[in-house]
This record gives sequence, C-alpha cells and structure tokens, in this order.
Amino acid sequence: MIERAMITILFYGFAAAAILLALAVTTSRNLLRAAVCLMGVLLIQAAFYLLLSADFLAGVQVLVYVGGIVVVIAFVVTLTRSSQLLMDHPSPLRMSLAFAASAGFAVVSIASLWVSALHQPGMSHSKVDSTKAIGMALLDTGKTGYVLPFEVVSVLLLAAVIGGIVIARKTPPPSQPFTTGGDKPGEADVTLPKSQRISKDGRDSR
Amino acid sequence: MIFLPELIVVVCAVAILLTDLWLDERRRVILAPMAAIGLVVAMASLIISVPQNGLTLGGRFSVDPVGWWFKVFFLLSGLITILISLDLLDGRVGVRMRGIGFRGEYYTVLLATILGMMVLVSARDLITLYVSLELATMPLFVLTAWRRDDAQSGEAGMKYVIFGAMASACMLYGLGLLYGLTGSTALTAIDRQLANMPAFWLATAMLVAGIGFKLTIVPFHFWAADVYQGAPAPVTAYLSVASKGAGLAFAFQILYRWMDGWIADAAVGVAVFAALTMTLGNTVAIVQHNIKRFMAFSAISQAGYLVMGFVGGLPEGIPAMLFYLLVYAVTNLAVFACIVWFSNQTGKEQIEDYRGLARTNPLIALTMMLGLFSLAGIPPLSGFVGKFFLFSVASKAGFHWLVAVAAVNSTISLYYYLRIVRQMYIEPADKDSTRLPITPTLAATLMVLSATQLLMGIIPSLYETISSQTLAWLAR
Repeated sequence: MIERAMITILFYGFAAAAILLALAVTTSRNLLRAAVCLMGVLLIQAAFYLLLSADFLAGVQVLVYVGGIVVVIAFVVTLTRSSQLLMDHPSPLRMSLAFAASAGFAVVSIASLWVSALHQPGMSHSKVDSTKAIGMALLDTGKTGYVLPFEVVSVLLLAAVIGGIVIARKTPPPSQPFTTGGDKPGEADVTLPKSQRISKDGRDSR
Repeated sequence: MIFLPELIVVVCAVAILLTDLWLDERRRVILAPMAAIGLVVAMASLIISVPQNGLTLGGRFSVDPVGWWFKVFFLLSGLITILISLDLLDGRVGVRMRGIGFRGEYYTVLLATILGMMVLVSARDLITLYVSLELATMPLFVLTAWRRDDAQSGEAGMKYVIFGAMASACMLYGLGLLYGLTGSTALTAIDRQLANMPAFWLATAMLVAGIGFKLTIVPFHFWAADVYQGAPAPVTAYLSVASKGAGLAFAFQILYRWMDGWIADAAVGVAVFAALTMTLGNTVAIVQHNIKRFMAFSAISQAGYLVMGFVGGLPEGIPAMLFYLLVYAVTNLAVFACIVWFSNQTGKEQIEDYRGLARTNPLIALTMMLGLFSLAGIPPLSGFVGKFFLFSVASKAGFHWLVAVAAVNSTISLYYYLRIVRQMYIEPADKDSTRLPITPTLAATLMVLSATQLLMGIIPSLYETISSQTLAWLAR
C-alpha cells in the first residue's frame, strides 16, 4: 500500500517537473540552456520507465537520448556558436495564433483522455529479466516475435546513414562523367572554398 | 517463401552498395542496370512464386490479393523510376547539372524505400506498420535534397523533413492512443465499443492528419508544391507516384483491417476530403508556370480521385483504386519521363520553355500529349477507364454530388493540361531551336509506357483480373 502511494507521489512529482522543463525547452532563448532542459525531460522519461518496471528501456533511454542525442545537440550548439542567432521575433498575431493552436490541442487531448477509459494492463511487478525477454522477442520468428520490425529498422538505419553521409560529406560528388561520348570521366567541377580543398596527394591543403 | 521479393530487393540494394565500393567512377554505369534487374527479378518472383494468400512469421507478415497488387505497383513504379533517372545520374545529358551524383547510394536508398512500401502492405501489427512507413518515407527526405549545390533542392529537403516529422509525430500519437485503448498491437478489427470514447476520435483525427500528409490530401498538402519543385525531376516522379501509393496502402491497412467497418460510417468525411483535394489541386494548378510545381498540383488532384475509392467502403472501391493506381503510375511516369528528358537536355523547367516541341521532337511531344490526355481522362486512354470505375464507385455509394464535382474537376484539369499541349503544338518554336537528342533507354521506356497506357484503356482483362481476385478476397 505504502509502495503504491510512493509510486503515485513520485509519478506526479516527475510529471510536474517534466512539464515545467519541457516549457523551459521551448521558451528558453539560449540554445544551450534549452539543451540542458531537454536532458532533464529525457531523464525524467527514463524515470517513468523505471516506475513502470521497464528497466531495460530506462537504461536505453539514458544511453541513447541523454548520453547520445543531447550531447550531440550540445556539441552542435557550442561548435556553431548559433546560440546567439536565435533571435526570431514573431509578430504578436502569429504568436497568439500559435498559442491558441497549442492550447487548443492540449485542452482537447487532456479532455478526451480524461473521459476515456484506457485499456488497463495488469500491473506486473514480477521480477522477470526484461533485458533477456526483449532480446529473445526481437529475434523470435514466431507469433510473439518482432523479428520483422527489427530487420526493417536495420535497413532504415542503413539507408539513413547512407543518406546522411551523402548530404553532409565535404567532397563534391564525382561529377557526371560523359559516358556516351567515351571521354574521360569528368573532373569535379564544383569548387570548394580553399580551406576545404584536398590537394592531389591526399593531404589537407591547410 | 512469401517474402522472397522483399528479400531480393534487400539483397540487390546491399549488392549495389558493395559493388559501388570496388568500381571507379566510369564503371559505375552498371549500377542502374543492376538495380533494374533486381526489381525485375523481384517482380518475377512475386508473380511466379508468391501465392495471393499466405502468412509467415507467425502471422506477422502476410499476403493477400490487395497487398499483392500493391506490391506489383510498387515494384513497377520503382523500376520505371530507375529507368528514367539513370540518364541524369550517368551524365548522359545535354546540360550538365551540378551537384548530382553518388549513384550507388542513390539506387540503394531508392530500393530501401521500395522495400519499406512492400513490407508496409504485408504488415499485420502496428510496430511493423509504423517502422516500414518510416522506411518508405525517411530516405525520400534525402533523395529530395540529392542535388547538393542546389539551394532549392536543399530547401525542399529541409521542408520535407520538418513537415514529415510533424506528420510522423501525429501518426505516432494516434497509433499510441489506439494502442492505449485496445491494449494490442495486432491489426485486427477494433471493438466497436470504443467508438463512444473521445480518445478514439482524437486518435482517428491524428491518423487522418498523418495519412493526409502522405497522400497530399487538402488541407495537409502544403508541403507538396515546394518539395516537388525542389527535388531532382526523377525523384519528383517517384514522390508523386510511389509515395502516394504507400499512403494509400497505409490508409487501406488502417481502414480495412484495423477499423474494419468504420469506413462506411465515415463516407461523408472521405467524400468531403476527396472533393476538397481535387478542387484545390485543379484550381491552383491553372496558375502554375514551373512544370514540376504544376505536376505537384496535378498529383494533388489525382490523389483526390484516388481517395474516391474509399467512399462508402464498398468492396468495388478497392479494385477501382488499385487499377487507377496502376494506370496513374504508367501515365504519370510517362509524362515525367518527358519532363526528365527535357530538363536533362535543356536544363529548363518552365511550361513556356516547351513551346514548339512538336516541331523539333514530334514523337516525344506526342507521347507527352497522350500522357496528359490520359491524366485528364479522355477516352479511350486508360485514365478515362480508371476514372470511370472510381466515379461509378462514388455514385454507387450514393454520392452523386461527388461525381458531379469530380466531373467538373476533370474538365478543369483538361484545360490546364491543354496549356502544355498548346505550348508544344501551337506556339511557334524559337528560331534557333533544334531537334534534341534522346538516349535509347529513355526512348524505349517512353515507348513501352505509352503503349501500356493505351492498352490498359482498351484491353479490359487487367481490370477484370484485379477485380475478380480482390473482390473474392474482400467478400470472404
């Protein structure tokens, strides 16, 4: 009984903190501060997973989101010095419209969730090894397995990595060779700024 | 092995990626034939070895006639897209376009999206459904921005990412709510009791927004024009055909498997969306000058016609929609093959630039005219037959006003398709304009597409096959 009361209190405390931090993420004018608040939101999310006794998910949440994504965001913010560039001043009309839209959406979702009875899964506090169970389920080809989405995600990540490299790499694409003319493949005719050019012997010209 | 076609597509994508590593730039011309052959083999294996009813992985992956025909459509449009993009990527062009390249990566990413769409129609649980929809969508963001030095292409990619993320968020919220309501991720018919709950309607609204984004249904269409204009022309072709088909497949999965039976109740809503979409697409297309932007609005209006297949949830709507989808793939890609060819040879994309094309290249102007007339729905071209079946579904469902709106819209669309025909046939050519060359691959592709589009309108057996197979399955 006391355990349940504790969990309830903890949940509401975390939930209030998450909402406040999320508000801070969107309203903060300083990007770095927003990133730190985002880290807080994601950490609290991991706490929610712990309260739901999904230990593995909580660990992954901390590793991937807090340890990975927020750190990358912080890197980008500090490296590009764009924290000062965030000086967008939308007109009052746009601001009020945006506020009305988001407030309306919040009211509608809260109201509709309030009056709807969600499906209640049996609260399981059994100490199964959730990591092992998840691992087995991901590679299970049977009725309860998730091998298909697991493999689809792997192709998705591969495609995303390839695409990211193509978009972001510094070297220009090898320009289109005129294969019908039978001449030599064309040289890259995209000129990069001098600092980014790579000299013939492969060394950076800087 | 009912997932043999998917397996072939994956293996082909990885083979292209690895072959690309060992080739120097000149020999990379073999990558496009590799991709094309891979898709042909996948299509052959689908037709020969995949039964129209089957399931594997404990029922998590299954094929039925509707999914089977969707897969034919995805493989076909992927194949045609590869055939019309290889000239641009291999540099067989009149005007060198800067910043486009990375052929191995291009075909790999393209095949990955085809895989996503094929798994999408076979998925039987929410997680696979969502993940494969992302696989069908996310690589398209990259393909849109593939012209790296072109600011417009980059902007298009950026806009597509932001709107796409928003749509994904909406969709995920909707799917999550429905999971919360039902407690199951299986795509089986939902308990009708749930309809009394507001959360159900909130989830439905979110799903409508997500599907509307994919299908460019008004009012979720606003990303389309900029993205279509900025993307490289073959990617625009792919976006307007295959991506739209993926949206329809997703809508079918949700509406006919999961919310089985709701679709009949939502008939008025579907009809209103269809009417809005075709009307806005058609009226805005009239004032466009850039041909890719023009085709974007044309594609929006075509999405409006396609959605008519869902009106009333009649079983006849599904074969009509599938048939029109196949017709649309062949027709729209024939028009896009001409657009790709023209922009490859001249680097121009304005409608006015097409003036006098019938004097310099009469055959290509003719194929383009046939394609445009088919899109407008002139008999005896296949577009007319496809529209006829869709309109008759709406009329059978009792939505005569929708048929009237669609007929008026077809007339409007004829006007703006004729604008291009007028430029090609009536306006005089520039004095210095000469006959533009065309590569054998593109010429053959164009010829086959035009012939197919004519035959589909005259020979009824394709529609009869689709109809008998899907209706037998839907009636079960």
